[in-house]
Amino acid sequence: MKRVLALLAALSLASCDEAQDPLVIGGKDFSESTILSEMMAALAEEAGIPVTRRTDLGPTNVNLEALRNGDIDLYAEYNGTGLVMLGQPAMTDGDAAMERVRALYQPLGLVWGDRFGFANNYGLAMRDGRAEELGVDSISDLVGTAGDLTIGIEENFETRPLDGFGPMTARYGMSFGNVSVVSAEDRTSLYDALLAGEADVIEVFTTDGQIADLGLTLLEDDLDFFPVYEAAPLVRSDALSRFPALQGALARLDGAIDASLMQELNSRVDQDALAPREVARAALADLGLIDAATEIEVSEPLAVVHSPFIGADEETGQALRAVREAFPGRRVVLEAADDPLAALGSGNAPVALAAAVEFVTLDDSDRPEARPVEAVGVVGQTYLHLIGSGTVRRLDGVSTLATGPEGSASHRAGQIVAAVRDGITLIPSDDPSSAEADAVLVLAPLGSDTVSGLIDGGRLLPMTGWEDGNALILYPQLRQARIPAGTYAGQRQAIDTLSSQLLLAGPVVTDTDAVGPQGPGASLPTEVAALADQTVNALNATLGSAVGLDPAIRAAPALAPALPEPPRAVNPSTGVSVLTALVLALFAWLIWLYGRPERR
Amino acid sequence: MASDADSERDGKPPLFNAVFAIALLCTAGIGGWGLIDPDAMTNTFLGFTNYMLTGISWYWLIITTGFLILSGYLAFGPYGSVRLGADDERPEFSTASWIAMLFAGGMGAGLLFWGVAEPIYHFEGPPGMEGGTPAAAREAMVITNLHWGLHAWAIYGVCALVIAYFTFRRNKSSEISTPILSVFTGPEGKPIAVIANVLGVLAVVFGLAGSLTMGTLQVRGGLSAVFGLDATTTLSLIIMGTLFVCYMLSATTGVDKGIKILSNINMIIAIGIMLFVILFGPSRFILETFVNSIGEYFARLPAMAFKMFPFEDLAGWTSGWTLTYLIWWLAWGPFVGIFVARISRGRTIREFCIGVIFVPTMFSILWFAAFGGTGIYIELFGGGGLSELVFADVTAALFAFLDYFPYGAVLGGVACLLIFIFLVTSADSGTFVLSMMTTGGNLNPPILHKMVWGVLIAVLTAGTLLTGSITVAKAMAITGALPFSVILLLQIVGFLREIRRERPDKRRPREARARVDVAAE
Repeated sequence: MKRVLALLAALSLASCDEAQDPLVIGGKDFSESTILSEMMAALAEEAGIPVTRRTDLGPTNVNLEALRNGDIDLYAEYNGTGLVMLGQPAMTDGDAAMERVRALYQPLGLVWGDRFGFANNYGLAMRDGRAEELGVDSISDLVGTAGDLTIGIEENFETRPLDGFGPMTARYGMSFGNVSVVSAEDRTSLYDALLAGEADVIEVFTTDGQIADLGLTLLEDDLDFFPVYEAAPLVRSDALSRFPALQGALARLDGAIDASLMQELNSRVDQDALAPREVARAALADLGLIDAATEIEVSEPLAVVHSPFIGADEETGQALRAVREAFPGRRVVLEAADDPLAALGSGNAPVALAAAVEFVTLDDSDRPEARPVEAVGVVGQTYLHLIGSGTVRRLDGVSTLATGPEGSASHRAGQIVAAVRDGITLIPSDDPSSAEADAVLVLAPLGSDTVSGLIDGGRLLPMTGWEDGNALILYPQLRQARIPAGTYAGQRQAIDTLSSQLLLAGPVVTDTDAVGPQGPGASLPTEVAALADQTVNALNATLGSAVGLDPAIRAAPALAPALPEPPRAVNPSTGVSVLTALVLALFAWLIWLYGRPERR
Repeated sequence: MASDADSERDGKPPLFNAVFAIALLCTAGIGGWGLIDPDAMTNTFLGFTNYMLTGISWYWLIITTGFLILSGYLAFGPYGSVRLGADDERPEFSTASWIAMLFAGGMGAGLLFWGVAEPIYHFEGPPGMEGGTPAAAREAMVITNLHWGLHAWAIYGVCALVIAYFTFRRNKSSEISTPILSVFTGPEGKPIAVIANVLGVLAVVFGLAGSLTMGTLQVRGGLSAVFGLDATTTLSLIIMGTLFVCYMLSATTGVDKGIKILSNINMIIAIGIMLFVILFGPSRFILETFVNSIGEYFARLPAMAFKMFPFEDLAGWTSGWTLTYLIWWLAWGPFVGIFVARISRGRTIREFCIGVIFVPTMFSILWFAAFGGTGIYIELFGGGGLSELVFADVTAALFAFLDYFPYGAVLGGVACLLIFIFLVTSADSGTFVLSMMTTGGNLNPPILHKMVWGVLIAVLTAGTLLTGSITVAKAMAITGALPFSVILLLQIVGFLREIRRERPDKRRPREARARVDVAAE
């Protein structure tokens, strides 16, 4: 007991001997600012400075006011904002802007530290594939095609007099075919419009997490039109004298964070729902600024499993966004697998992105057998791309057909093709493009990079004669479709082929157990759980697909047409009534047993 | 009658009686079926349970609430001062050991897992309300306490009382059938008694094997969460093997050595972890939650104890939560009942009801205020992030929760140890009870029987582990509850008939009088 008391006393003393006021770190009310505050806090703590965090304090004016009053000792500020707050115009040259704010803030007793190494400016972004298609790298590259493009911007950007939309188009000398403006609070919907193809270019902040997350191309501001907003610590000078170690601690971040790192960190907080403090510490550990052992993974991410042929582009982006909306607060990542549906239901993979052909396996007599999966949303369409090697010009000439590995979507499609067309031998391979075969089969969305690469050495073959025989009825997972002319470089005419809907799939669970998985002796997740109706509805609300689900494919109950419920009979179940009668009889018998006189 | 029972207990009882043989055959049959075709067995058992749970949902709530009312009447009615033993007898175990043992036998490791998880579940999705609000937090604590509080212990209390009264006050054998035999005094009594005993044994054997399977998987989950071991079947079997050795050692040394010592250690660790959480967690919040929960639970108990959702179409919620809990408690009733009866010699009915029902309930209210309260605190004020873990995996969530505290890894290791001891104490008291039940109620059954049942349970558990299906384990664990509920009702009728003789205006039963009084006569 004595020892315990001594320990308690020691503990309470330890907490009291730090009489000095701790360093108070403020921060603005968005993730980037919180992450920067947490980074500065971690490094200050590393240098032995006691820290009080007051992150998420409020907008710029609140932080600046608190700093001037001494309520906080430092926070991360942008030099462009620093100028604007003192009524000066923002500048486009970072070094000059830094010099200017240092001079302006010195009389206030505030010191600008070294810049972190990134700027959070206005910028323009495009989907990677679209930018490549148009050959656009910088804003100037847009000038030629701008007339055919739609740009999505936010209302503040539209009205800014010096660095807004109007001045920008004037500076670059271009005019967009279509301008769609959203309100300030709907800023994130710009990214949705970009993914859905409703906009070709959008206005962004250059450190937005979505840029890294969705793999967008940020167009270079080659005329240095946009003013810079470079982040740097803004510190009270008395805090620097109070904590001599502070200056050194902050200097360690000098130029340490570039824009793409900041995008990634923002994405981890905004999209993956990780705690800013953990993200900041992990990043510092990666940079070698603090001990790596403190890195913690907060929670297992949910994985949206997809086929590697459906790359990080439009379809996967949509799927990712839909799953994030449906599982708020969870970190969601993309994961490639040859057979995405096989990974379903393993706990962290509630949803997979798969083509309709993957919903079945062929049995010994080539009849399709349904796998235990159900469609929970329509994402798009995948097309069968048959690419003949140099000499092969018709499907009839194909005797060996290279596909993806066993179980992959293209192999499954190949199996169906081989079942319908005699004389085709499949060659499953991890790298079908290098396999020795007459033709390669790839199931991918239109305009896929993989296909473009393959076409260089061959040509697209039409799928002829599919409608002869009963293939259309037997294999409704593949429907006839046409790849329009000009989809791929050098493709002069439309190609008849097959397509399969690209779907989000969830596991089918026929568990209607009334006994819950909980209970004093139970604490284990039973088997795989089907997606709840709300989740399915949330997925579809985000996907907003105009195309309905192919009726040949097994749909989740929430998507299947609901029959109107007929009025229930007054006595819905005879069995239950009999059981009830037995229980009532039991009670009557028990009362009789209790009341009957004792036999002596 | 009394002398019959006496001679039966004093003389060497036959080693293999009818109950033992029939129960062994049935166990082998059902166990074999489960091992050969686990799906068919599970579907049959769970189908039956589901039908009973949904078809007559009201029955389960009304009988269990009835048990609670009955125990209140017995404690505070005219029979409160009746002693479970002769009038001059004194308790066999100290009150602290007694409560530790009945707690260790009755609650088990579920308290650890659901301590955090259940309040979070109800907080995020209370039935018929919006989740995540302060009102939902209040509702969550009340619902959790409803599931773990007076109802659970009233089921055990009634199961135990009917046995203890006949064993210690009326000097009859300590069997499931004893109270029933006092209803059926005619020739029909014998077969009914055998059926009741066999059903009791089967409920205990399968209930225990199913629970141990789940427990083994929980320990495995804990070991892989804390020490990063791979969760393989081999690891399960190693845990099972260790468990077997421990509970056999504990059970064969008898109730006053192994079982008592382990239960006391268990209780000390549990209280230690709880105090740690209270002192290193949000202390003020936890105790405010505790005080608030007491008031709210007891104030809303009358309504909650009868609450069903016929108008909201929430029958699925009721059966999935409240009724599932009640069925679990009922499934454990026969063995916890006999075990609690065994350790309660010499206490008055009032003392018994307060010790078995009220004290554990207060402890679990505090427990849930500490664990669940901290969980809700993290969700409401601490930045959240716990509920997703709970929804993903309750076992892993417990260890993630402990990581919020200083020395989280050490705490996780202690929690693993506690879960393991909880399993051992459940298994050893189960083995002990089975041996009592199959030796005509022998209070200190022979080691041979303990070996037979201990090995049989281990084999069944290992077999279930090898099928790898939690559903099989669940079906085994709770199906016994359904037929047992009828037996329990019959036992209660027998008990209520006999206890009428204890009314103050009547002459006490001869075997219950103090030895001095009998001698003076």
